[in-house]
Amino acid sequence: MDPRQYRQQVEQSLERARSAGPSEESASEPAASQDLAAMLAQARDGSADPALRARTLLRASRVGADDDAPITLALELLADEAEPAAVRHAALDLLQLAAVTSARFAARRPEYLATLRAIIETPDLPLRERALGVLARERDAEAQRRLLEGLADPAKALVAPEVAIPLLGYDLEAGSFPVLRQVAASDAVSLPARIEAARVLAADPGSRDLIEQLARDRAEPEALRQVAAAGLHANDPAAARRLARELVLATDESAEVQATSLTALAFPAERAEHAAGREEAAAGGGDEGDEGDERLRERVEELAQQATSEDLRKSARAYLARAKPR
Amino acid sequence: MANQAESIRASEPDGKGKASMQLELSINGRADERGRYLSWTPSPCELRVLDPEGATSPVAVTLRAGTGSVAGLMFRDPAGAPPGAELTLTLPVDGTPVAFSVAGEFGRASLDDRDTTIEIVEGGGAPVASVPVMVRVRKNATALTPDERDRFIAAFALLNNRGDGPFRAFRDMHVREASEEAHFEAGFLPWHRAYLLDLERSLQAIDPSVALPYWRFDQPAPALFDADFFGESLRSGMVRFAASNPLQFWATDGRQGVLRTPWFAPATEPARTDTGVPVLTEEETLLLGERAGHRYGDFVVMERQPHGAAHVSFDGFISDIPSAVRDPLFFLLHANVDRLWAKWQWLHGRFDPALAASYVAPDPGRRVGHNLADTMWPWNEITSPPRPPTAPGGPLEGSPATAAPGPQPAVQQMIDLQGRFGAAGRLGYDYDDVPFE
Repeated sequence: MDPRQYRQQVEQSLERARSAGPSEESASEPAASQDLAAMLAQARDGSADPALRARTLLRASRVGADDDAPITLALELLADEAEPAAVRHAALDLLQLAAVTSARFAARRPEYLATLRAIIETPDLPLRERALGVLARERDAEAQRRLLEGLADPAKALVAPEVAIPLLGYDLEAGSFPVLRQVAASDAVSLPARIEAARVLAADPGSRDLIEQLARDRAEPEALRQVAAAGLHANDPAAARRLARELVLATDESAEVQATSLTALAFPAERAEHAAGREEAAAGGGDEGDEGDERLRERVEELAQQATSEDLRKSARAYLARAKPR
Repeated sequence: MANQAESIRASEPDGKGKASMQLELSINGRADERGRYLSWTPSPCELRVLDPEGATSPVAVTLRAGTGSVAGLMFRDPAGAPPGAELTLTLPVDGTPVAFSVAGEFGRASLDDRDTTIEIVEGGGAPVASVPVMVRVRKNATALTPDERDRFIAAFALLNNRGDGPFRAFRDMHVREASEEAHFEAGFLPWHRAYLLDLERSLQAIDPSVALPYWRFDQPAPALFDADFFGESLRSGMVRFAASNPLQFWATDGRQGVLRTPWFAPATEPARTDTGVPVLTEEETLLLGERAGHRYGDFVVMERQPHGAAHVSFDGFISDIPSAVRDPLFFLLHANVDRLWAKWQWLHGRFDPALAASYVAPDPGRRVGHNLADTMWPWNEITSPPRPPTAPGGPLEGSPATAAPGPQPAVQQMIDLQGRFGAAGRLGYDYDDVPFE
């Protein structure tokens, strides 16, 4: 394409955008102080339409980007259980946006976290989940305690276990692992929760046997076995390679579990510096445990051609492409 | 043979004992295959006769893209004639190199390594030699072929190496303690340009055919948020990858997995926040600061919108600075941010760091690292206050294709992306939709 023609096309698209006028988001001219004050007053006005209040609050944060007042108001509105959901969610949007874009926010972070702690029991479940998400990323001890308590005693759960467990993963304490093992091993718990527990337990050497058992057990749901197999590759790579070989050689095994196993064998953990150059990287698969394993290679070649699962065929081809030359 | 200079056999023996002539083609200052990666920006080349056995007079050769080439090529001679699909050179038999340049034809990039050739034709005859090259540019992630996607994913997974790989240094560069090195100030865009370049070069050290794709966050991206690529979000917020996807082993901070919940439907919607605030469109972004004359200081507000809005269009790792890099999507988000900057630079002629509108004026009161002449942490390895106490990763990764920006770049070295104000300053990458003009 001729760059000059392309420039004309781009200029035309810009002209169309100009003609359409600025969107509410792009109208970012700095506001006079009285304009900002008026916006904040409207955002605060409990008699106004919540959707309008929410939009006004967010607009105030744009035009008052160098002012603390929008943040102050957002903290107040977020904390107030009497405020409509739309307004509180907009307040949290404003605060999260300020956290990633404003140097001024650092000074307000303690208030922000305190406000979030105060609302972790709000009846607004989505808001509760968002608040716990931020607190978990901050490794807030109280949030972690409450999440773990909810796993051990569902009557005290603030969020569903499959939501709580990944949040616990931000800052796992040793005391979490026994509870998580119970969750992973129990078929009375929801499958999504078991899957997330198995995923987190990949980091726990003490859970190695459980993870391997879950990966092996054909009575377990396929999705759980897959995550367990992937987790075993992080937890105990040598054991994972042995299991992967066993699973791949089996003729009546889950295709998805086999595919995960082959992918792991094709991308082994390399303890040395990363490979430099394509040939060396391509030779990274099929590490010392697979070298000379003719039976495995023949089986993988068979799968690459004949497996009915597209994922399995793809994994098999990746393994063969990355295997060391014989 | 890799990394060694390769001579090109030209002119097959004529059966009368006349030996073939040897030529040497260097691209990007290298005669080996490591230099054979092109973009839209012209790459310096030289062609010379190595062994003129049998030749007594200057040799006329024509360069062009070989038959079957996927990418288009444009050749330029040093005299400044307009670029063309062919270029005829006259090579002295004494071995004096003849300079020229070659670039990809805008809009026609490679799909794989070595899928394009520079063909050398002697006189008006048949080709006597061909050299495989790749026109490698950063593309829209949704436009990648399955093979391009899989090569990129494989390289990224190897770089991460289940949490134990060199990616750890990149993760450790983007933490709360280092926030002010890269954010909230003018240097936001140059710092992240250097950061992406460092990562991309690390990926290319694994697989040189890979370029960092970008997530066009103002458009739906179904192919990106797919189990075969960057994953589908589950109710738990964790991301599910296909069994054949090596990103299923992605790990950071000792934990496997990616936590990411979009507030929008990625298959059908552009990014927006929980309460429906959309990211600015590309056009809106490119028009930022138009009334004030397209000055950098008015453009860099894009840190808030669309950049910040894109980050908080999710819950999870990517929604906050200290955790954002735990999600590999971070790099595709920022590749789009960098692309928007590059496109703005191209549109408004803002590549010259000496031009006031290309950056902000020096200010001794500005935090160090954000003025033009300042070197950037962590690559400068300065760990005394106010810099962070550690400098993970060491110097910025080098490239076989260009010497720029150097191991410890200053802000100003990240402005002239295409080396328009000093060819030696080109950074060695381009975006599919930002030409060299």
